[in-house]
Amino acid sequence: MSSGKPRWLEVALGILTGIGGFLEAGSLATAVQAGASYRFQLGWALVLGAVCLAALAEMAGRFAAISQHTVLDAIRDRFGFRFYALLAGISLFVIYLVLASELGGVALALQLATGASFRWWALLVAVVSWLALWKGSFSFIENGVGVLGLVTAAFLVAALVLHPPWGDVARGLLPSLPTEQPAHYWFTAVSIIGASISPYLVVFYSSGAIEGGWDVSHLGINRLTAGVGMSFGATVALGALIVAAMIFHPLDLQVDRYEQIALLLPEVFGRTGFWLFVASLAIACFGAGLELALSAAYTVGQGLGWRWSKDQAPAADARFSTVYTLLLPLAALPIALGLDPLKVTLFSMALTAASLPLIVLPFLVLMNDRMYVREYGNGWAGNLTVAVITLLAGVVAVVAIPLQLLGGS
Amino acid sequence: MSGPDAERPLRLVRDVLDQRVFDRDVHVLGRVDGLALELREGEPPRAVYVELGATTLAARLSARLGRWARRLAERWGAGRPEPVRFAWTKVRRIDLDLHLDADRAESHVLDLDRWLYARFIRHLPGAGARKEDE
Amino acid sequence: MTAHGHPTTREVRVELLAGRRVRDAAGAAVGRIEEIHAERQDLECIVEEFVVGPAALLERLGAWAGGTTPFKHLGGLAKRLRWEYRIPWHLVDLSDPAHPRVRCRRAELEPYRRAGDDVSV
Repeated sequence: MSSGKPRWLEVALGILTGIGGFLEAGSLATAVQAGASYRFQLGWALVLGAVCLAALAEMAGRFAAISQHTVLDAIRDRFGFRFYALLAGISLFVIYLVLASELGGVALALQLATGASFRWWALLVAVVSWLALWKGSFSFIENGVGVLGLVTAAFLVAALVLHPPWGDVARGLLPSLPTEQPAHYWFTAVSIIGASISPYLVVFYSSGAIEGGWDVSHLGINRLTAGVGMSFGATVALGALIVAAMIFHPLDLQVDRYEQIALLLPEVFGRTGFWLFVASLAIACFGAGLELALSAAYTVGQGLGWRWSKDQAPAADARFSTVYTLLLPLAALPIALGLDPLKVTLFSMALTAASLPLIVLPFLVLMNDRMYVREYGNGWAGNLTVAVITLLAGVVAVVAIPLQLLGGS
Repeated sequence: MSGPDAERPLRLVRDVLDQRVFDRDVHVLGRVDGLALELREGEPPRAVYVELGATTLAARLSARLGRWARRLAERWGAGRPEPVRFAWTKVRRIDLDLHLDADRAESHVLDLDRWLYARFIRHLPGAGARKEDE
Repeated sequence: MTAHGHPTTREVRVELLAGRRVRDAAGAAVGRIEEIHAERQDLECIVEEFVVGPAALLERLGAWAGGTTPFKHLGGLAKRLRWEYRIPWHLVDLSDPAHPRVRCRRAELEPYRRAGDDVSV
């Protein structure tokens, strides 16, 4: 998203970042669980989540580019402090849990690589993440990690190598009812959607548009980055689902540990597959962790009217840099204390799903507010899209926690 | 003038409250956390000042929380405990934000920021230095 | 400072007034303060009227909408159903800001009901 680069490079980086940045602990874990339990049947949940995320991200980017305000700025402006405080409180709690799961994912990758328990790695991962935020520019964080994240495409390649029955895969892209364990089926579907339409991604994307100096001339880049990048990113997650369906489902394996997920790629690529998995897990979770920590700082800083920017020196706004500096070690604590990273991941996905309506509903107002978006607001199609996503978010929010209790891991 | 106050009655809740506030050099000062009206005998109320600060925000959630935040600020606060106020006569322009004829260096909006920098951030390697007027 | 956070000098806080229920002289509920209209006169900002009722809230969410947002239509519908009062400042008693009152009975506020003539803001 950085300005100063040739447009073709901005577009390419944006798309690559969208692909490489899509897979993280939540989307990987939920996709593998879905494939292991229901073969290809939950592909539709991935597609649905990705399409919704792409739509929301495009709107968030467009909003920021035109109004030079982030979505959170406008939420406080238009909905007032009480609503912002509710949104921020819930968002920060969810961000904390998801961040813990991402730090846990990196720590677990290091455990797989070295044999030393993930508990010992947790705080070190938090420190390295903090260093990356402290010293790195926004461009480095977004583009560098996103491009490195292309290693996760190993799942897509593995899926192709396994020659799945593409007819069955295609049928799985259409919604269907479960034939067994309905509570667990719908819980997995809800978790996939929660992993895809993460509110923190919308905050990060909107803030990134301002950090990158976007204006009306970037609307095309925005559409490509959000639409093409994120849609292709979902194919990586679909790759993980297919691989799990081909390898785990015939074994009737219940996936409840990352160590089991680590068995997938070696089945296809041998020893190299193991290192590909370690790299994928570490890089994907590391990148997501940076985005989450920044999203927390953006959420507080923008709502309270601080100076905020990743590209400013930490000293320039001590409040902004204090937020992520304190958050990272705090988020590492549950993992350092021994909480299972996969369990934290799956629980946090359900909570993410439950908090969706708070960030989605304001889009119905903001994307039609001519003071902000001028003539670039939503037409009837955009409003219908947001209305459908809002409805979906509402349903998901209501059922997420009950399903977690009924059928979750 | 342009924006909300140029074409229609000014809506104090929607167009002033919670908006970002900028000084004359377009540095962000914060947000309008509070807005005070003076009640006058036989005359319409008028805006007297905008207020920025955590204690003002706390009072919006509940009166008890506001009192607690005020006590906390007086006892442990960074810098002056009272919220920052700018007279309404300093308001130059209202569009999506409030633009004041004021200088952030003349107020204590950055007290918490300076305190965090001095007590915490400054001691971390690579924090950088603050500019003179920050 | 009063128990509700308003200064004891003759000042009231907009952020604490917004959302407060307004009652008439007999104690009957009129609605909630959703907006305060003011006019800028040079360096002054003078309050003109208090907008009470759900139409104002809906309008606040959709007032700038030129598109098909449902809130604009809801706001217009609320106005057509006359769910809003625009009460001039001199009719509003703010001596107890936590319990604002109008200085007349609700029935006497009929002239101040708006029926959709100012939806475009």
